[in-house]
Amino acid sequence: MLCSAAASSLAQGASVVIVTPHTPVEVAAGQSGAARIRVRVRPGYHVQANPVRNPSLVPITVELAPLGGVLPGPAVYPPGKLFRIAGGSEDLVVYDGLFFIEVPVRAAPAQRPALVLLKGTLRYQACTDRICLMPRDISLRIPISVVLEASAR
Amino acid sequence: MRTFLRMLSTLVSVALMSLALLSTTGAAQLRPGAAAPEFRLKGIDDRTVALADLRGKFVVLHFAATWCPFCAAEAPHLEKLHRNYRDKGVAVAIIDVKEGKSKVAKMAKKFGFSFPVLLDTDGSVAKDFASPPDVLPDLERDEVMIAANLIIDPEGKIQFFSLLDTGDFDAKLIKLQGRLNELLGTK
Repeated sequence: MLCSAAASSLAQGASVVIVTPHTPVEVAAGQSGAARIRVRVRPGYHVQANPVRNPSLVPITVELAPLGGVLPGPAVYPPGKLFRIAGGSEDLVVYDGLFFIEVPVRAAPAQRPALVLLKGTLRYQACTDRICLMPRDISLRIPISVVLEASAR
Repeated sequence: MRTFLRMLSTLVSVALMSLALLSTTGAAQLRPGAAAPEFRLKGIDDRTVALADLRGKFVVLHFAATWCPFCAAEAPHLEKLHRNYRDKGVAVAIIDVKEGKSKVAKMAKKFGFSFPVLLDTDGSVAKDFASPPDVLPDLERDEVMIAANLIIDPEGKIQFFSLLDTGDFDAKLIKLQGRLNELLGTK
């Protein structure tokens, strides 16, 4: 009973935020593009947005590492919603449901055509209106297809 | 062969029953009237505080984390409670779960806490106080305790316990104060 409860708790906790794998982003060498990361939050939960109003809180963040001649830029976060805890004195800025985080990506002029997998982490901290989960990390694998300029969309 | 399988089956049953017993130990400790689990933790001021050191006082314990918005909402009311009750034999302490000293010290300074803020850096104390597996099963056992409040009496028994998952979050600690006043025999 303990084992199944623990496994269930890990499984359920891990699926509060789901990042959907997406098709490769095409970027021409010497040009820029944007990876659009699709994030879905389980109904009833919200995550702290980015930026947060209270510096103690953990904003959602996406960090991608550069690889070869493919360079990610700082992530761009959508506007959040205001949410106030009953009895609290300040509004929180949160995301819920489905939202997208964009990461600009630039391919160096000398980058050869290739499928490059950028690795990184999405960090979040989720709550309902009654409970909070500890901050958690999701590993990201973002495929970037570097193409010759003429063939880029 | 049959005898061996029977013995193996008995051994497995005993092992499972032992595991089940271990898993309910935490649950038993959170009943009102049950003995609170002992702890000994270092605070952000590097002083060590053990629950045993606080025998003879009522202890208000709050499990917190710097990232927890519910804890932030409670914080000013906790400090106010400490100031109002410290001369009435009540000790207040925060147990911060799974965070480093400098981060927690910054939070404590921001809220002006004048009571011990203790560091449960590996979450083991929070787990000792954890609810049974069927309570908030979505969460890890040491997460369940975050933003929980307890009152422990001078004999070390739990007299009040509130998990965050209540119908109305009590940031102003009204229910806790009500119970504390009952225990102190005051209004």
